[in-house]
Amino acid sequence: MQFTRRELIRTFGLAGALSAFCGLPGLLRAADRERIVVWRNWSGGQSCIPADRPAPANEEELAALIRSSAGRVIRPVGSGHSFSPLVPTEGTIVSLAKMSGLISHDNARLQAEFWAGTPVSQMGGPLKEIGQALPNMADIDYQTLAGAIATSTHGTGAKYGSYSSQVVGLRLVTAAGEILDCDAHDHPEVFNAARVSLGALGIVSRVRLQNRNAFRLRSKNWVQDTEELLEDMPRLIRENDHFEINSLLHSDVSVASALNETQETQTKPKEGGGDADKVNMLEGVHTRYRNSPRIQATLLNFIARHLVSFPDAVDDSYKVFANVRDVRFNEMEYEVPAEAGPACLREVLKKIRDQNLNSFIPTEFRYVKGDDIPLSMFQGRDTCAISVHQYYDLDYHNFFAQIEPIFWKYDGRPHWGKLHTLNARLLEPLYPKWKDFLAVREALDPGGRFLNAHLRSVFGLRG
Amino acid sequence: MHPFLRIIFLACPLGAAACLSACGDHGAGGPPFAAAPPAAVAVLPPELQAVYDRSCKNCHAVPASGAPQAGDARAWAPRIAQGADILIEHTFSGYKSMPPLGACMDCNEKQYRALIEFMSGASLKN
Repeated sequence: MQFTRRELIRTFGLAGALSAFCGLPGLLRAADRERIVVWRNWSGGQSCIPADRPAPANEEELAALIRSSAGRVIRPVGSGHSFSPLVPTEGTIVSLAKMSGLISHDNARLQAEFWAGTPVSQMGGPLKEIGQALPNMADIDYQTLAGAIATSTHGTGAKYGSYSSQVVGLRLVTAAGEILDCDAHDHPEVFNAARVSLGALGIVSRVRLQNRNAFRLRSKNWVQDTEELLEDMPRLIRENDHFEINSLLHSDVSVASALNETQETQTKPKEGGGDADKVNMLEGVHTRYRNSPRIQATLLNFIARHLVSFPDAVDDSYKVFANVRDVRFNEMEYEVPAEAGPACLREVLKKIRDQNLNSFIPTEFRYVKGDDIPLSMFQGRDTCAISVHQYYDLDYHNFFAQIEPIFWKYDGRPHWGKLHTLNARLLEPLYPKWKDFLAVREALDPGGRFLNAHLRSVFGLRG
Repeated sequence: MHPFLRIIFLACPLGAAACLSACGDHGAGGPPFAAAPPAAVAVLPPELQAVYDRSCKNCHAVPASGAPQAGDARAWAPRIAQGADILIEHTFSGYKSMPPLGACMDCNEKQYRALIEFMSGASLKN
């Protein structure tokens, strides 16, 4: 990375720039020193040194910021929970952290409008107060609303789409600094594209969601032979509102989770704390017995079946959907046609076991209903989402490189917010409405203000 | 303890309950559970209070997260003892369960220092 003198002064301050040029460390000591802030995502796997990181307080400030920073790349950031390089830029990273909360609601339609920077974790309570709830939620709620819809973030449930599929209106601040309200009637082509945009069309400032009445969920978790679960999958996803399995690598078992709506009024809260104790246990077994695969499998099967408890919970829906993930990791996820899910997972697990790949965080296997959004991973087909993870402190490249071709074999589409290696040439054939999205993007941002190097590669656009 | 026995201990329900004190460890030792209910030791200016509410509070006011709790000087003491440089580095780059930048995408170093001082009740020295 090369800095111009002006960039140095902006980044390091005058004292830092003088020091860099003149070798005067005393100046740094004398100054009220502040270190360079390297932006990093949640896992730490992506990083950059942006020119600035503003957080506008309202739409007027946001529009003024976009207008005043002509010529510089602008990337919006939510909670930094995307594993793919959607955010890194040497330009401006804009946070919507100050644009957060419930704006308005419509009880008759069960709709609510939120500021786009609202963390999903802070939506459930306010929605309950107005008698509404998100129909489905992801298994973590760290994301902001804008980040979640930009990447088509999803939960599980064969009858439920992603967060993006619940969007019925949004406001976009464009590259020209203009404010554009869009929904199915106003600017419908922009609306449809902006429901999953990777932050490439402008900056979404507010989002209106189609919700449902508030409800309660019961979660039931159990350990079972992975093959038995896969054989029984059609029944399990048919008979449960939300169903997923987490398969323990190098073992024969999975943890199954079924969430169903309940009228039970007695609350049985989820266990406190995150998953660090269980992941630490998996790491311990893997580290100690990786070179003895049969012992490792036997031990994991025994511990999971007999020594680890997964208590049921009953509570408000938003308190049951979300989990605390206090072990950081990197993740690759592909979305394969629903009917191909079990075969694809079998092959992934076999590869990990046959090659004795160095990873211990369970795979995740979920279902998502198809939608009609051009850049949605679920466009035109009901989908099975399969994720593999690597502990944040371990190299993921070799591991993911051996798994990714399996996803390609099953016609998989990569999750936009997770790690993958596809560029435009390989992505375009996966998306029938690819050109529709690119046409909207070109019309809204011909200068590529919202494109970083990753997005130029994804869309096949030169810098 | 032999690793196998340790694994069984960690895996059993009683052991799991006992091991939570080692889970989600954000710093250098010390009890992650607040010895007493979190109590603010100072008043933050409104802008920093907003940052605390939307970022820090999600872990540092939730005992089950394993993070040192705001107002729990005992939990913070071993972290503070490492010095400001280490604490700021861990805040910028992330450390174990602590996400990089403490999940605040627009904070600067002065703000991070003030937030750490607020939560720990200690003064950071360079």
